[in-house]
Amino acid sequence: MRLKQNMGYVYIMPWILGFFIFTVAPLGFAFYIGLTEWDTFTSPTFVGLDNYTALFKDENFLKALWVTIRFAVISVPLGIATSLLIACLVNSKVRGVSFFRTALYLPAVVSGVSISLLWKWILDKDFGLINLVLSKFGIEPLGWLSDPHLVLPSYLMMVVWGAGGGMLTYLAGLQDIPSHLYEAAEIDGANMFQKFKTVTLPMLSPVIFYNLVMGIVGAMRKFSDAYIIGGAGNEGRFYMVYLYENAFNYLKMGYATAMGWILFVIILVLTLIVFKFSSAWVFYSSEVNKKTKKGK
Amino acid sequence: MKRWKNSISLLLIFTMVMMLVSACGSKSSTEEKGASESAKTTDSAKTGEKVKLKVATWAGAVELKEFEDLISKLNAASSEYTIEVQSIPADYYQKLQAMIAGKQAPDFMWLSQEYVAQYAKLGAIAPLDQELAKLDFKKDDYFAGALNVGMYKDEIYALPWISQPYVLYYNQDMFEQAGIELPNENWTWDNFIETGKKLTKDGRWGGLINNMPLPMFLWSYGGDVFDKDGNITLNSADSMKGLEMYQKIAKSGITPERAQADSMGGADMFKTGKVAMFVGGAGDDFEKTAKFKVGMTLAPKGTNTVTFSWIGVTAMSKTTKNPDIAAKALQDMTKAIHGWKVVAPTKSGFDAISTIRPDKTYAVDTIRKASEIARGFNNQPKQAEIDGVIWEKLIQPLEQGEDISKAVDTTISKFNEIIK
Repeated sequence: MRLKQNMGYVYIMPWILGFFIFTVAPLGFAFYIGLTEWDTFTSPTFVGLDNYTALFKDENFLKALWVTIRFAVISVPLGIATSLLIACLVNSKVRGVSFFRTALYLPAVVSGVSISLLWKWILDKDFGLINLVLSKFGIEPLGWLSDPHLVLPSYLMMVVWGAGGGMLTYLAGLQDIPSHLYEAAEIDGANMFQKFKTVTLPMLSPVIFYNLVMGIVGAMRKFSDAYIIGGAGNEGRFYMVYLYENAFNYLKMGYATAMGWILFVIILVLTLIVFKFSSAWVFYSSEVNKKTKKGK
Repeated sequence: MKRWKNSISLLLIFTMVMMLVSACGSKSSTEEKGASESAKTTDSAKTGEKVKLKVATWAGAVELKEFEDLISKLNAASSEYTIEVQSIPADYYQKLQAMIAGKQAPDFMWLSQEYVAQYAKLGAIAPLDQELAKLDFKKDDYFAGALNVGMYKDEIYALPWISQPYVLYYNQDMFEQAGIELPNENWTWDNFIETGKKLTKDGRWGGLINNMPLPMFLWSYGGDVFDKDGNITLNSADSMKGLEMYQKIAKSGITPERAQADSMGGADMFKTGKVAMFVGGAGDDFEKTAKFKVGMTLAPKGTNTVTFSWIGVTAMSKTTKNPDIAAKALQDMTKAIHGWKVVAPTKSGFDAISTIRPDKTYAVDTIRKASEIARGFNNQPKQAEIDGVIWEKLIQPLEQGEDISKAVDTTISKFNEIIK
């Protein structure tokens, strides 16, 4: 029996070794680097918590954090709502629904860099598609990326455009909802809105919960499109972009690593909060079934 | 069956232990390999074997092909070295930095002038004076402004291979149609504004300044951001005059909005006839691509006749194993590039302009004069951060019409935080 147990460890040893060498060790190293001043060319110098204290006095850091949090607060619910709406629409049995499902999901399979370059053109003040359409209605060209007030709305437009990617999980969830629940609701005289509120939303809540957590993590770590597109008045300088600038443009690797740890803590806290309150709104039908059986 | 299982388990354990042992041993074997390669390289000069060197370049596509051909010719002609080209067309500096940090630095690296001071201070690149002294290095052949950007603390760390002095290009057709006298070498920034106003009409602008480095205006009046010793001189009376002129031009209405110029590209705006005057590098290809007659003269001046030059250099890694032969290779390679790229940073390489770029023949004298008065920045080891502050705290407020003294004070206080 003991040999069997030991053999189990041997079998999982490659994974454990990989985990320690490629995950735990770099984490430990990163924690140490966050306490140093390191330009990557020379040896790191230990500076204690200086990087962390300097960060909270750095107006660019605070601005990047604000830009990112503000984006996350608006974009995550917006993305969820749009994806859910699209999923409900393509869940209906109409002709050509497969085409719409494919078309709406397409943004998710295109490379992020290509999408960013495409949007940079769409949002261009002089040659952009949006301003071209607006000009047909006599509206003056808007500086989507050059006017600081329009940078956030521009990024939110991109979120809405890419919401088809999130549709897939909602669609799978919708198709998993037993039809007898809707039939029961109909017998009780529920209209479409009431059916959505009392059947669809609770049954989809685990999927919404999953997308909420992933959405928060994704929004806080926003990088590639912000790096390519930017935005006036530092409104497009998201947290990860500023981290990258410090690490690779200014060779302040210790400072950038400290930023990485702060972001980790922020994401961890937000995720824990979401988990903490999930019991109030996330409904797991399997748990109800268990309770029902126990009750019997 | 049980014995069979145990045998497999023992075999697995043995394999894993061997993997671990070989992994632990890899460092020492790499070190041994490195040491033997180093010894081999040092010995190679004695035994007549060619020293292998590597040059990192951001060149890609056509430029890379031309550079590789140039290097092949050098390799064929040399009995001492063989250079291999390492092309990094995207994220050049990030990859270069990772290579240096990973002790895998190439022997030579192309650098833009802003990186020389930083790489020299951090010990990534080697001072060249000692090695160059053993060669027939002609310091005086270089235009002073170009060579200066390859220097750090009075030592040469990099050799310039291109120097593009900024000159004033103008759309001659637009001037002639408007009946306005063509710009000339004695033009001041006030002439630039005055003429620009006459040409700003019908959706066209008189000039552009968004592509010009701000310090160029400071130099025009004898000021600078930092002096040669690294002292902040941004708030000197001369520098302030330069900043006032910059703001005056930005607010004069003769230039398009920065966002518009950035999105369309300053050079493209000139090329497509949307802007009448453009201060840009002497090697730009307007003569070939524009559909109007292009004129060129020296960039306007303030109280001093000076212009900026975009300068590319090649530096030698401090970890190169045979510095003597590497320095020789660096000098040969740099000379060869002078016969390829326009504009060469040397007086001797200058005459090649007409051969390499016949379209520039009409302006050889202007380019020569521009090269003589051209200079780069007094780059600091933390130049990238400094440039970020100049953009955020100085250029943007100036263009928005904010108080110059206030912007200067904020900028200097940020500088002090960076260079402390």
